[in-house]
Amino acid sequence: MRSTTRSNGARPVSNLELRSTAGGYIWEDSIQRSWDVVQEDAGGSLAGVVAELVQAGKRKRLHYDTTPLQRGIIRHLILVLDLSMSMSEKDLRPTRYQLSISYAVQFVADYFEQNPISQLGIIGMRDGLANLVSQLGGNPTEHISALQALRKQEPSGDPSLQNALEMARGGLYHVPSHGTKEVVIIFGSLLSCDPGDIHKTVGTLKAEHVRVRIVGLAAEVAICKEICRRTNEGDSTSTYGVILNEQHFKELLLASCTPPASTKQKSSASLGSDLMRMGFPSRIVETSPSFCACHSRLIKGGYICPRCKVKVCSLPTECPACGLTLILSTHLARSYHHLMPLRNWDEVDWNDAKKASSCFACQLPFLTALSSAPRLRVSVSGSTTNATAVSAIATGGASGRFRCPSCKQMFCIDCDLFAHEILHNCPGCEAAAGGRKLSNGQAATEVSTATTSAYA
Amino acid sequence: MQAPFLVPALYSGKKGTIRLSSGRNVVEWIPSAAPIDGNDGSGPVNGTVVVRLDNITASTATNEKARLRITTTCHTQFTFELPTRANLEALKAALASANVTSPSSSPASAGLTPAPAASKSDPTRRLAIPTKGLSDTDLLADRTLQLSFLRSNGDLRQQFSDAVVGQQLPCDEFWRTRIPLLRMHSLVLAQRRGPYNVLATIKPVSKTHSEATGEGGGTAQMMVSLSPDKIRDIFVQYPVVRRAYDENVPPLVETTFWSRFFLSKLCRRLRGEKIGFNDAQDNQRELQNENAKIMRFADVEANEMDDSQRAGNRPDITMRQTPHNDALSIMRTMNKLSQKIVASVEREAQQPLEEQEQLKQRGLVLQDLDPVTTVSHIGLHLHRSTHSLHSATAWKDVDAVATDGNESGASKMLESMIDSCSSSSGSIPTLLSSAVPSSSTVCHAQSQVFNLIHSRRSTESNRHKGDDSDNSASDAVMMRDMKLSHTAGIEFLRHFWSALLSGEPSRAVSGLPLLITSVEKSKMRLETIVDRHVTSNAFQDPANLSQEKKRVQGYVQITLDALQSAAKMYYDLVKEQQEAFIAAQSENTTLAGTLP
Repeated sequence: MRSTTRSNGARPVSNLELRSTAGGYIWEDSIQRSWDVVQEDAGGSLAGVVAELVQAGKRKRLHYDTTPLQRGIIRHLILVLDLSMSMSEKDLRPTRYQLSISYAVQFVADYFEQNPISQLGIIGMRDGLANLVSQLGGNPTEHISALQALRKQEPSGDPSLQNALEMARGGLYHVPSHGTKEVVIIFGSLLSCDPGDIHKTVGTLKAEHVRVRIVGLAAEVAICKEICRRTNEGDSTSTYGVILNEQHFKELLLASCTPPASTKQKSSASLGSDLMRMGFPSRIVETSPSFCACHSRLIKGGYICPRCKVKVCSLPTECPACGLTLILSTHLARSYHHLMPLRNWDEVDWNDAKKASSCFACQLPFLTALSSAPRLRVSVSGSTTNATAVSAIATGGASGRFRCPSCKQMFCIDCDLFAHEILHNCPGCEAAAGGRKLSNGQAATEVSTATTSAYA
Repeated sequence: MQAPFLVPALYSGKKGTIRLSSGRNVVEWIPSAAPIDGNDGSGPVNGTVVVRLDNITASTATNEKARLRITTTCHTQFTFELPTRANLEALKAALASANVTSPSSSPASAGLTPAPAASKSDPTRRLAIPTKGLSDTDLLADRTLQLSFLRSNGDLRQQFSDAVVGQQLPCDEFWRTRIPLLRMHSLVLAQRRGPYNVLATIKPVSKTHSEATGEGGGTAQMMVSLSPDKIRDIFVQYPVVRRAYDENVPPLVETTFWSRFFLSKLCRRLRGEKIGFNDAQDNQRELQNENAKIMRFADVEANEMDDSQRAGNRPDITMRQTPHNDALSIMRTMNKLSQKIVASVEREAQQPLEEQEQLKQRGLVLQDLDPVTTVSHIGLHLHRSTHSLHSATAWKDVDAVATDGNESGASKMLESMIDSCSSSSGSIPTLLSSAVPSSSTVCHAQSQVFNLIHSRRSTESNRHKGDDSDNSASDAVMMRDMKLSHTAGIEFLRHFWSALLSGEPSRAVSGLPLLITSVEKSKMRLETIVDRHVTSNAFQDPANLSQEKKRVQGYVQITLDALQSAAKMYYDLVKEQQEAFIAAQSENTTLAGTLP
């Protein structure tokens, strides 16, 4: 029986895939250690190499898929935290528990930054039960204060994935069809202590189109993979990840900030689109305070709901009186950038580098070929096996220029990062229509000051 | 039906009677204050009903006091004290004959209602997660759930008493806007714990003697904290411990039992720890093997395996030649335990056989080398409209303006500024005066900017501080009233809008007139509060009466407007409907007039 399934299931692996860069098989290759890659320069200094690595790290963050896809931007996400005994392990500093709470706080902030018209709720798994940490809602400060309150508690007992998933399902029960239903689990244990059959729960989750993503902190667990596979239409590779280190943990968790692309199967089930009412409230400035409808506190200024005329103190929110979604147009624009991602900028090699002497956005002068020559020599001076890895870095950051494929302007790496991560627009494309270049110097310097403040 | 068996007994110091009706398999204890005869058939008053008994322990014959401990299947224990030993023996015999103690008596008692003592035990032991009771109608109908939610949430209780109790908002209306909260609460209540390895969770904490007693230089002590839940879970998971407990506890004190248990070899073995030579031997008899031991020479299977000719790899999980006893015993214990845990879950899940088989098959299939499934997403085809905003003509206009007017002026100004800067005498004020056309506009702009900053700052500080705290006593009272009325007003507005926008004609017709009166009342209430505050403060300072009124009214002006606009909208809609109705009627009559 088993042999037949293997012969059916196994994919013939082509020899090419198993070839390493040196020509032999992967396992015949010598191990590349990270400290072998780094080579000192003539003066014994590592500064140049470190700078190259930092550059490479920056570049790495930018290589993501930029195909525009249909995504659900009105998201409803439940974050599930493992608060069981296994989270008291100290393999992440100071403990898994504290670190995952810190990252969860960051996740909440980033999530609302990138998805202002979405909602979030938090559930904890402790003592075999699921505890509600905060209700599904759109106010990041409430969630963050609930997470901060968790810090003072201690992890205890076993986690129960089934209880947590059932509760998450209940929390997402009322979500209308135009919103996504998502669950993100930070799972530090290797077991789940469930009262019943978890496969049934997974079946109901699948039927209700709830998508589950899991970040494992210890090792790959079969049931986690199964949950992700079944709720994401067979795709468990991009939805279930086990962390390698703190940085990877953060990357895996923050990957959930991007709204999920809607798949063909799901959309064929719910054909057609529906309209949604939203209110763009007007801001008022008051000299004397008045009560807000959301918290019943005396507050100066706020926003007036266009339908029912009550005052709310912050946006985005749902009107406490008439239930209208109140947002600013900038929130909508910020949610939209996921639908139309800015294309990756190409690296410019030295042949084309002379065309621009300074960054189009921040006006800082680029490196010239001469000044960066020593750094190049350092990186190539490694042994032959290491040279491939190092030279990849070297060519990546060699000219320090990146060109937008549509407007052909060149930018420095910091502006590249800023444009892709915060601005989500190309300064060149926005300005360059009609062949104008001069007037954007002013605007571009403003952008560069914003860059420095953002990174400060 | 047999006559009930009655024995006088003390329960926690109170006099009463144990009643055993054999036909119903029910044991009751009735305090003597309650009339026994009048109680017959109508169920116990103030008594303890025990549906299923798990164990009965009587104190030993040498013991002076005749005590009987009854353990229910929920592991709640009741200890009764009987007047004489003869009574105790009689009760024991009666209980045995009534067959309430037999562990297999579950079908007999299945139809009975659970006892109050059992039902209060703990919420984590409920039978199943409800999957159906999550719909809106179910939640709205579940009054006990709503009650328990109100009990757990103080703010909500306040709102409920304000709106529903105080101002006759229909209960369903109140809950209709809070269904997601109710659903979460029902899930919180309904979930229960799965079986787990209890002993692994109990970790002894070492504590020096000095800490415990306050004296210096003491010896180290191991502390183990045990909750009743944990004890119950140990009993369920390890029947052998329960047996030991039942047999030994009347002579032993409970704490001594547990301290001896945690030091025993049995405990170590159950935990799956290594047992060394130095470990203390249990002086109680070996309780590990529940099954009767088969003598070696009579054990056919063992003899077959014990063939020196066949000695290959060992027929156990290690599959090695040399035995590793300690490792093996640990593995066996852990395997046995996990089998037990899984079995207890499966028994409850009760899947059909073929489904179980399928699951097993699915678990066996190796999926590591499966081809990576690619999910097909829906691509978007974007056309960046470059011509609309950045159209050439538009830019040309801007260009023209820039080149014609401002740019030349700006460059001139720049040049002059550079000149004055380069000449060393030029300081910034003179520079400004030379560059900026008139100082009055600058002053105006400056004051505007500062005003904005001030108002912004006060808004921000106010936001962090919350309410104004520098209020007088009368202000504080007024504020409290106002806040409550404001909250109630918003609450009614919320129900008004939800009914209006619900799209259900029945709900709108039945609910709206009631709600609109409440909305209007809220408005009146707020106005009354403002007026009352102003009139009560009028004699103090009549000069700034209107100013005071303006200040206080300002707090709620927006709310008043919102209430007003809701009422206006309602009456406009009603008027529209009426006009439409009249128009339709008149059309009908004209039609009727023309028809004959």
